[in-house]
Order: sequence, then C-alpha cells, then structure tokens
Amino acid sequence: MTGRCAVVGTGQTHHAARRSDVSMAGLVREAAERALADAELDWADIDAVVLGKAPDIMEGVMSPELHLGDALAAAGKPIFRAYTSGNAGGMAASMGVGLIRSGLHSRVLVVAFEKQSEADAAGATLQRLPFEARWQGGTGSLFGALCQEYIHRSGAPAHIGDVAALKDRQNALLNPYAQVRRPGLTLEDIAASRMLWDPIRLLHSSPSSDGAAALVIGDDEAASRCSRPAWVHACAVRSEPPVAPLHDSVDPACGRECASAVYRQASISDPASQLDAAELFVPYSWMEPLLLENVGLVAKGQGWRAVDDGLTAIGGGLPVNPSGGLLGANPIGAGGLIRFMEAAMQVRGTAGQHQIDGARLAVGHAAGGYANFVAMWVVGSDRP
Amino acid sequence: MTSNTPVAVVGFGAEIVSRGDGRSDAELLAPAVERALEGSGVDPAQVDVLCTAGSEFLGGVVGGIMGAFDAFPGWPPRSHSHLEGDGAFAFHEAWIRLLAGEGRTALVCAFSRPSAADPVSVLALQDDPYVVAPLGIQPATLAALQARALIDAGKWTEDDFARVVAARRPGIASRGHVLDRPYRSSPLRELDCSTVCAGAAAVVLAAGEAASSARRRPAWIRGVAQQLETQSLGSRDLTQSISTAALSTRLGIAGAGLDVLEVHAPYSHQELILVDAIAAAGRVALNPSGGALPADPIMATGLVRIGHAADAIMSGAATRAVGHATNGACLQHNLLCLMEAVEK
Repeated sequence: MTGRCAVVGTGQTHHAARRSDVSMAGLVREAAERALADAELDWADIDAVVLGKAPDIMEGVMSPELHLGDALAAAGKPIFRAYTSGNAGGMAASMGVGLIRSGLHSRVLVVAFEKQSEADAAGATLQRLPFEARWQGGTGSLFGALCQEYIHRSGAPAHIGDVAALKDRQNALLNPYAQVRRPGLTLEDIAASRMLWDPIRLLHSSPSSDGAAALVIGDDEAASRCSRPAWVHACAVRSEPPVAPLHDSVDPACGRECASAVYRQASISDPASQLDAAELFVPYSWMEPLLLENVGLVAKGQGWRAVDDGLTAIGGGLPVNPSGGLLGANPIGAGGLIRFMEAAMQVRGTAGQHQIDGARLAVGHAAGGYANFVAMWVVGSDRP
Repeated sequence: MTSNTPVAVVGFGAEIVSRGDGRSDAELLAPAVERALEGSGVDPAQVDVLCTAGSEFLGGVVGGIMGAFDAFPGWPPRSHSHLEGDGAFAFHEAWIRLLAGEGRTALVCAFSRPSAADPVSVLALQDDPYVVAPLGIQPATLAALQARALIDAGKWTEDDFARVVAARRPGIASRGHVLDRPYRSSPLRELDCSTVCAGAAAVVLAAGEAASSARRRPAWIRGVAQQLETQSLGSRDLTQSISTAALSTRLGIAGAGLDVLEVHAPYSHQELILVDAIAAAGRVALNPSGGALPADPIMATGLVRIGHAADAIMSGAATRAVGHATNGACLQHNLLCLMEAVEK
C-alpha cells in the first residue's frame, strides 16, 4: 500500500423499522451530517463520494447516486455507487480507502444505507442461482442450512445461538442508535421464540431496518488535523463463485483469504490476542461461531466454545459486536459499513457506553451474496 | 486528476449482440474477456484486481452478478469489487486501485442483457423517486426536452441531429431518411434514440513494467475523471454539459489536439453537446466505432467507448484518444478518460 489513510469522522442514523420522517435523501443526509460534524469538516471539504447499498431493485430506484447526489453535496464531485447486498458497506469503505491511497483525493465521504420500509427485500432476494432449481425459501433459509451444517461439523450444542443472541441484544442496549433494544430479555425468552429456519429462531435474527451510516476517510494530512484518527492498517475485498464444487458456504475461502490478507497487511500474527475488538457481520446469531472460525479468530470447530465461554462478550478476551451488531439494526446496504465504522469508533474511543476500554486495534467485517463476497479492514489508534 | 504511476490499457474486447440470442451473462462476457486478455501479455491467472459493473435492474434479477462469475479468469477467491452502473465507472475504480498499489494488473468487466420487460421503464426509475418517477416520464421524453432546448436556443436544428444519425447508423444514407420519419418524442425520432441491445465488454489494465512488457503499444492513461451534476433538470442548463467541459479542462483535453474521440451519446443531439463541451482542437475522428446510437448495451456502453478509444492507440491508428461515458437523464453524470501512445 502506498499512502496512509484514516477515519476522521463517523455518523449514523437512529435506525428504525420505519423512518417515515425522512426520505432516502433525508436518511443519508442525517448520517453524513453527523460524520462531517464529528470530523469538524464542511461539505466543501469532501472531494469524492462513495455510496453503497443493496441492489437497485430493492427500493426500485435505479442509480440512486443520481438523486442522492444533491443531498450529499456531490454535484461537482466524482461519485461511485458500490454494490452488493450485505457487504455493500464494506465494499464502499474499500473504495474510499483506494481513493485516498491513490493519492488523487484527500477527503472522501463514504455513505451506505437501506430504506427497507420502502423496499421489498424479501421479494427482491428470491431469485435463481445459475444451474439451480428455483429456491423459494428466501435468504434466511440459506443461513438456516449453513448453520445446520456448522452444528453437524462442530457438534455445537443447541443453546449456542441463544447465548450469542443474548450477548448481542444486551450490547444493543448500550447503543443509542440501535433499532431493537429489549431490556430484561432472557435466554429462555430467546430459546422459546418462534423457529424460522431451523436452527434460527426469531430472536436469533436481525430486524428489517431503515438506516444509514457515513464515514469521512482522509489522507495523512487530514488525519494530522484530527485529534483521534482511526488509521486504516489493512483493507481487502474478496469474492468467489457462489456455485462451484469447491465452494464451502460454511467456511468460504473468500472469508479465510480476506482475513489472512488483512492480518498480513496489518502485521498481525495472532489476531485473537492482538485485536481488542471485532465487529463481524452476524445477521443471525448462529453465524457468530461460524464466522469466528472463518476469519481466523478461533480455531476450527472451537467457535461455539468461544461463544459459550463468554470470550466474545464485552469484558471477555475478544469482544465481538460490542455495538449489538446486526441484531441491533440491519439496514442491508449499511450493515457492513456500520461494522467498519464501529471498529473505527472503538479505536478512536468514541463508542460511548459500549466502548471497550483501551481498545487500540479492531477489525471490521462484512459479508454478502451467497457467502461469496467479503470485505474486511483493520483499524488502529497508532499511525502505521 | 493525473498521477505519477503509469497505468495503461493493454487489452480490450467486446461482444455486442443486436438481438438477444439466448446467451447468459457469462456466455456474453467470456468471449469479451478472452479477446481482451489475448495479446495483452497479461496471464489470466495473474490478474490482481477485478472491477465489474452491470445493472441487475435492467436484467431483472437480483444477484445477477452471480451468473457472471464463470467468465472471470483465474482461480478464486479474487480481489473483486462490483458496482451497479456503467463499466466506465468500474474502469475508473480499477485505475484508482492500481494507483493505490493494490496490484499491477486489473480486469474491468461490464455486461448488459436488458431482458427486463421494458428497459425504458427501468431507466425511467433513475429519476427522483418521490416527485419525478411517479409522473411516468420516459427517458426519451426527457432527452427530447433537452433537444427542444437546443433548438430554442438556436444552437442546433433537427437537421443537425439527423446529420449525426446518418454519420453513425449504417444503412442510413442521408439526413432525409431521418427527417422523413415520424417523431418518437418531438423533436426526436426513433432513429435519434439509441438502439438498446445486449453486450459485454472487458478491458485489461496494467501498471508500469507490467504494461511496457505486455504490449508493443499500450494506451497510457493520462487521467480519468468524473463529475456529477444536480439531478434537478430545472436547475441545469440542458443545452450544455458543464461537467464534461470541466473534466475536459481539468484533464488537458480542451483546446488540445486529439486523434480519436469516442463519446457515449444515447441520443443524437447529445453527441453535439458533448463534442462542444470537450472542445478538442483540430481534426478529430469522432466515434469511429459508431458510438452508442446503433448499439447501446446499457451499462456497458461507456466502457465500450473507452475500449475503442484505447484500441485506436493500441492498433497504431491514434496517438491521443479520449473515451467518454455518461449516466442519468440529460447527461447528468459524466466521465472522461484521456490516453496517449507515449508513456510520460
């Protein structure tokens, strides 16, 4: 990598099932305004914009950057529209990093959002994979199958999904932006909630959300003016075909290799002990043990034990999703960027009530498609 | 918008199909990728960065990108980012990523199969979703408003539009052939509007040594830049393309000599606006590929323009060439790429 870059400002909306008080433009502007205020910058200081969200079909707006450009003060500037479901936010951040490291831009605004109340997310995701018979179950059913296979391979006991869900939901109570905040929730409540796609229950699942997140990423000079920059130590994106003989959806190579790439770039040899926090893309709590293994934080087959032992709780050896993760809010196109952003907030010391004390190095992760698109970054308090 | 790292286009391939022939996205893209890599000197297994683009909305399938994976070279996983938009913007992104040091070679792919029921209706959804899209205005009608503004401003006439059509469409021998036809949306005729088709394009980029050792004559990228204008049609002067003019000045194209200029003009009158905005000096070969009018694989069209401009240099026909791409009603979002035969 050539140039250094850092996150100098973050902002997000108050995520909700339905933000009927704002249009899509209003939603992205709310997050972007907060990020600029946090960065102590003005719209004119931004020289490029990246917009990420799920496929255009979802809200039925083609090329959304065209009508959102005005709300983001992008007229007169270059704008990129990053794609993919789930990891859209991560991919957008990766584009932002590239724009700075190219040496051609100084301050980039990266915004990601989804307004699911104005979209047909479920209908939009029912489609045919090549060479496959038509799949009627929707995205959740795919995750159900993955989690079943993980349980089969690892021998994970049935309560693991409940433990991971309770942790994230308790963390969400410490996050003022989270959509779903349920104080007093117990393991029994979660275990008794309606089964959706075995083993995934209702309270294991992320909600449908309207929400946006924004980051201001700056070059070395911009970071020098920031009191608490989150330096980007590593960033990578990976994809693999969704349907292929060697594609393992439970432990996809794209996830393993993306993780290896970022740890290598960040000179991390022992991620579990060197990282202070991890924000992982967990749309259903059962995915946490699976992802811990896939991104090399825990040995294969041991992910569920890490959850069971409390390793991933706030106060544990490797807090995962101190923000509450996707169970707190899951605006599809923004969920990935929120993970990247929360990792940056940890190392900037701006995570408020869910701040991990003394966090200096954190990883952000986003995954999408059919377990075939991944984006990750490592951010740190120290200038690399 | 220029940089010290020399990056060049070393390969281009396109597969344009005038009528849907039943091939899938991967089946359209594969020959374009093969053609682009062939002669580029880049080993398919050594492509470092992959940037792809397309429109799933036009294709009518969420996750349509998944169907294209079979056409990508090399063994996965790959460093791959995708955008919903024209391949030209993925080209911009690939150039940025190479400048950022993410690799020495990149492959840019775009594919388009407007098999959604009515591509025109889908394109209409590029307008503001709350106050414009519900009016049900077709893209050709918005373009016609712009053409009308040109006539009213005394800049060009229907005759000038017809001259563009005759120059670009094979089989149209004269302006009279165009002016005889009824309007599609006054003052534009069907022939003034691009013929939408399916297609795919691929461009190979290489940096520094990887480019010089790849081809005898790489098309060195002097700069790529893009700029958005406000979407509000009432706030813009539709008779000119201020973003394209600004980009042209910034890249050092305006007022300078140029051998080949490929502009992405889905409507005849827009070619006039764009050429005027780019303001290249001297004799310029304009859209030798035919441009977008006869064949418009929406969302691959801009990349095809850049590919043809690069090809003109790689084949020895040109020393300095520009490719342009656009998106959005009435030329709202524009991109320019300047390439030269000599590495500076």
